[in-house]
Amino acid sequence: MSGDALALRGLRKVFAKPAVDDLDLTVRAGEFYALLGPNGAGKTTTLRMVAGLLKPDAGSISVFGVDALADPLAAKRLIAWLPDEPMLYDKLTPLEYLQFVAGLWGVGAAKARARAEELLRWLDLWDQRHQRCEGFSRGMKQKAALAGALIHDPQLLILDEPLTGLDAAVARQVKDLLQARVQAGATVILTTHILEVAERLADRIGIIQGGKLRAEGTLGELRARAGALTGDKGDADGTLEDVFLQLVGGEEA
Amino acid sequence: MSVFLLPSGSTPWLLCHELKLNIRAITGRKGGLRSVALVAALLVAGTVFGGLPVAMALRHIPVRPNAALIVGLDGGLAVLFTLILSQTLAAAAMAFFERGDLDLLLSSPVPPGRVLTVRAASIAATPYLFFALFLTPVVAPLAVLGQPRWLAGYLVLAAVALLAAAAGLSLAMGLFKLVGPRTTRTVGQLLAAVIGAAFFLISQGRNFLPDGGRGAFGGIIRWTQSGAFDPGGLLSWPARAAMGEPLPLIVFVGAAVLIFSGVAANLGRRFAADASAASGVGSGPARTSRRPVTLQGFGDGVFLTMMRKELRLLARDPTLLSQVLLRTLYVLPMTFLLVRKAHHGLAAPGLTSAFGLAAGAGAVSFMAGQVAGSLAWITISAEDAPELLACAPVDGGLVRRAKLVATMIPVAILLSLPLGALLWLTPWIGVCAIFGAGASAAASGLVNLWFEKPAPRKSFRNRRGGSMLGALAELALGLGWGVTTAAAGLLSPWALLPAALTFLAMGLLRAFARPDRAY
Repeated sequence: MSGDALALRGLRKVFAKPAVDDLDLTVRAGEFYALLGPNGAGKTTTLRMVAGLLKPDAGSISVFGVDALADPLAAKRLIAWLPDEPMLYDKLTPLEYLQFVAGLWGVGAAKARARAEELLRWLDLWDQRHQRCEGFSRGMKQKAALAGALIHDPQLLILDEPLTGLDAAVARQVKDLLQARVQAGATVILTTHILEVAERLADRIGIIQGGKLRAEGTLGELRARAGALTGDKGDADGTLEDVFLQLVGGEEA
Repeated sequence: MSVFLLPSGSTPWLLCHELKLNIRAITGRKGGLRSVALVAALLVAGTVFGGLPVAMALRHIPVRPNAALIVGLDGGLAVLFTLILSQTLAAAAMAFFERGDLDLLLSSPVPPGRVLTVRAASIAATPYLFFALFLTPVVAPLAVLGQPRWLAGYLVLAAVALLAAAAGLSLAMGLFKLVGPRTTRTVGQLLAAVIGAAFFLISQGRNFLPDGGRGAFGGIIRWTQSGAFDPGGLLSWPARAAMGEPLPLIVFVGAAVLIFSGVAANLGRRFAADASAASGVGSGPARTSRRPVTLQGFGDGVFLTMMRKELRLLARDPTLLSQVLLRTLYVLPMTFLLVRKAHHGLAAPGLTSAFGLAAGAGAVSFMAGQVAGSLAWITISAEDAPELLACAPVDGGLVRRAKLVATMIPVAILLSLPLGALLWLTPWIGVCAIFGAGASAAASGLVNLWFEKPAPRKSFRNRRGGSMLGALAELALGLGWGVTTAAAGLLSPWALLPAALTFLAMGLLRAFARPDRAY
């Protein structure tokens, strides 16, 4: 295994125009990485390519040293993908859903059983484990989907706007769970428009714009970079929002 | 003002909006000009080759009401009513769940009563437009060639549609009160299927009624000859309205409008309350799995996991259940007949020769393809979470094979009774039927794989719009295997011809198919 959880080199995807343009990005193992950018910057396209949902036009994707384009199944075994719209079956119960996802990832019976119970209890879904998801609120659906993403104990967890539409309590639960996963050694990549989340949780932050990585580093490093851009070296306490707006340009963001 | 220069928010404006959405739902995403052109071509062809010759023949024949004509027209209107009721009941039941823009409309300054009346009217208008298309090729030439009274057919059709909408809404509301919001959709869909097949089942009564239906049908014939349908009687009024007699026409259409208005007005408030109840999570206890899985159920392989998930989802889909039930109802009379034959031997009334049994075997094969096609579409094209499968470390081919096998299981269960009866009666024909049904079901499944096009599960009713070629192929291959089965059952060497043609067609379809796969 490589020391990098994810390495993207020269990644490119063109729809009507380039959505991801010669992108180089490295996320270290055990890191909480936040990928930020204005709408249409190419965040979701990038992550969908990593998850194996889109085929890149050029470039390479390496997940823990596994070439995701040459051996996609091996790479997928290490990844969990959680989009903002939960990938759920309304007519299945949470337990049936976890059973299904565990089957897809080939999780052993004993481990899957223990993980399912642990996750459902942790996410306060245990009492609803036999109720079909169709009657769930958005937050409950997102929690069920998160449990599905974690059932196979992924080494790389990719989340696209996971907190959209969640109330404060559920959002807190999700954030706690993600932090716990990182503490347990997993790598988390997350996109969000809630900059406070990235500011508080992320070890490093990448800012993508026009399909290219514009800036990357810790919050401190980004502050310094933004300060250098504006010639203001004294703004050491600037929020990520200030930094973000300076780096991507206020109007476009 | 809209593009049609109708005042915004007015009843006609809202109705146009509803109809536009309904038509787009039927024609699909690519609807538009292609669908309009296809409908226009069919209309012209129907008029030239069907309606015009009939109109030429009838143009000088005066229309005088008599008992036979009245019974025929009344019977036709009754059949029409059940067919439309089947659609309006299903639409009314779905209206509670697929509210779509109802929240938007009810939160607008348009009076709620108007919104709900228009929605009810649109439930009637969609089947009206559909059946009016069938009426036009005959009525239009007749009207042009000197019998304009037949134009009354459009008004009578509208009246029947309004009555059916009123009945459908009332039934949906009744079900809502009786079985609650969650079950209304399932029961409504199933009831709609039964109503849609009612006249077919009645017409097949001789195949399953104890005395071959002689008592029941004799009673009906005696009733029609009793004078109840004479031109002066009350039962003659709908038929005379259809024939264009002014007074019956005004009374029939007026009564329909009144009944519809009354139902729409009275149910308007309940509709809003019931619909909001249905859309709320707190409308009752959450649906719990009847046989909840335990923590012991984990650990199966991908294939079994996939199959189990598909079978669960198939069993929990009310729209699919109603469609399968509808097809089961159509195959039911033949099943009764075959089972009775199996019980009493070939001397039992009904089919009298191996030819009949072979034809039955062919029909069962065809039916297997049709049912399998519906199930395969749901499992393959209407996958709820394609991204989950796409990002899972599983081979897409394995997933698709598991889905295909999952669709075969319900087909086998559904057709086990007629297949078993055929096997019992004449083992050779039974064996042919089993192979034919298997081939037909597999062919439909493969067509759905080759013409896979991701679509939401709720588009099930319009699934054939997704790939017209796929839909036609499904039908043609089902017919091919049906004919092959029947011919093979008769030990005819001609069975090779449809079999070869069907295989050839499958090969061509495979070669030209370009599935749109997400996983």
